[in-house]
Amino acid sequence: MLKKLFAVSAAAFILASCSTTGSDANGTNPEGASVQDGSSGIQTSGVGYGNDANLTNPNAMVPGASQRYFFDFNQSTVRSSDMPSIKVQAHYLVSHPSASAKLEGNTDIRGSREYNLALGQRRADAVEQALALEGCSKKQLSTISYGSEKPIATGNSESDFAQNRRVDMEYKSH
Amino acid sequence: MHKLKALLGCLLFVFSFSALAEMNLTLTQGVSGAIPIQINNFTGDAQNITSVITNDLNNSGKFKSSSSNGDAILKGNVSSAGDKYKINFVLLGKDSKPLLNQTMTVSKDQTRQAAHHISDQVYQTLTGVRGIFSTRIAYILVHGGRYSLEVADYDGFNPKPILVSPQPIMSPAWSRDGRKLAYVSFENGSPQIFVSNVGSGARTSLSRFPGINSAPAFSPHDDRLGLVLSKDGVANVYVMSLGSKSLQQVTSGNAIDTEPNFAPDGQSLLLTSDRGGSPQIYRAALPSGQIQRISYNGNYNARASFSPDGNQIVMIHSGDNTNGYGIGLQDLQTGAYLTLDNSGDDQSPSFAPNGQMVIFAQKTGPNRQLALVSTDGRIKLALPSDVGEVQEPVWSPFLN
Repeated sequence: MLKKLFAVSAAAFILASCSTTGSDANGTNPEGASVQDGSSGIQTSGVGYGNDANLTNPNAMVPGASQRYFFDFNQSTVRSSDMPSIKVQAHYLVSHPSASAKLEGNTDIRGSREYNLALGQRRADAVEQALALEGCSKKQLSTISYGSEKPIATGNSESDFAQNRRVDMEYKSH
Repeated sequence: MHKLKALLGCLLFVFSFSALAEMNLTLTQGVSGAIPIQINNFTGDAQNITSVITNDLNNSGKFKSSSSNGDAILKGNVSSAGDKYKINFVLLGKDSKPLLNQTMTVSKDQTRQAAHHISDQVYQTLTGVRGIFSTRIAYILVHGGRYSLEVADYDGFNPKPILVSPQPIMSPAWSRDGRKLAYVSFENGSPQIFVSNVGSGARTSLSRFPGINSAPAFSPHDDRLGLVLSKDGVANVYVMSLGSKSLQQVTSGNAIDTEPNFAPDGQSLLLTSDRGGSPQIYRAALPSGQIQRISYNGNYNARASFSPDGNQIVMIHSGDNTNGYGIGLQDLQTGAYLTLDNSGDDQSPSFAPNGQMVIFAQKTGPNRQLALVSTDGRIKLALPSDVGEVQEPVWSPFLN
């Protein structure tokens, strides 16, 4: 297949990379959200999900750290195993009134992209509600959905799909 | 608001080069009942007119061309006429009965369009159905960390970007007059609806409420826009009057309601709703908002759209008999259901304006790609790109 160069005419709008949201809005934890070496070492602050080593939230119990909460297929219910972490983050927000966090909802890549956009919003709203029930003010929280537009895993395995069904909690200020 | 001002400061009109790969339409499954047609090389054809016509007719799945025999014969010639080309073509039927004899004069950069026009004439004369060879497709190309809303010929040729952005673009929708594309852009940080003029690139913001603004759909006379807003707490379907910008709320409640698609008479619209537990297709009468369930086959049906005659709908479908997600076709009068494709991760089906083909996106490997299937499921084509992911194709209306 030939690659051809085409002059981009004045009819095309090109938006520059001056987004205010940050290009790594998915909030990948640099320490890695996955334990790839297959070790079964104890994670002192993280939470794992079943047997999938890719579904971890290593800083779950660290107040004010980025979080990643995973969801079951087509579900938007916050997992009970995430509630200890939710409590920690809610208490952090309560005790730091100038702190704020953004909740970014995502889904796996299959099915309707528009339904996924709404489902991602529902997931972000569910995490927001769970935090609010633990006492923090919604004024310190904002939600957004990326639906299936910003997957972190692009393969076709169940593990890929599961990694994308998530809400990323990103602190904007502390 | 300051975010918008910052963005306006960053909008660039630039002349620059970007690498865009063309996609080549390839027939992967044809039918044995194709009409044999003899296509003679047009004399004086140095512009590939003959091969464009040959590919058009073969790719429709309705014809099988050869150079030596057929139920019909197509021949023609090309000659220079000043700074233009004069193209004459003749279509002969059985017993050399003349069916078409036309001459056209076109400028030198219009020869491909001329070839497509000839294909349209031949197709309509021999099948009785209007051809789609002069139509276009829009889609989203994801490549190198950028999202690009592109418009190309129906066969993938001559792609042209309408919008390039570092943030996602979704849900392109053609206006019925084929002049505009509405779409969702995340350029301001959250999903908002814009509309761009395809020819000039001029764009306008249509909806930027807090939360989701998505799933734009033009009404049959381009006077209204169906859309989805979550500003009141959950995704609901609205209809906006494009003149006054006033909103009519069509759905309410805690379910996700999305993907409005107007019926050809504009009196109702399809939508996807999970009010019954999982996504299914419903139909809402306008303006009453009275809602009736349409899909009963399988546990997941979404992204439904009407055929041009309003008698069928195509949708994403998953059920007990499906491998993952496929494309389904339902006859609204009989309820009969047909699986058109089932590769496991199919999405975004869109009818051709003659109702004969459906374009959709499928992921069978590392990248999502476009594919086409006839509405009887028997003819299949691939439209691969070697550049990146291609998603959310929408077929234009007839443009001529």
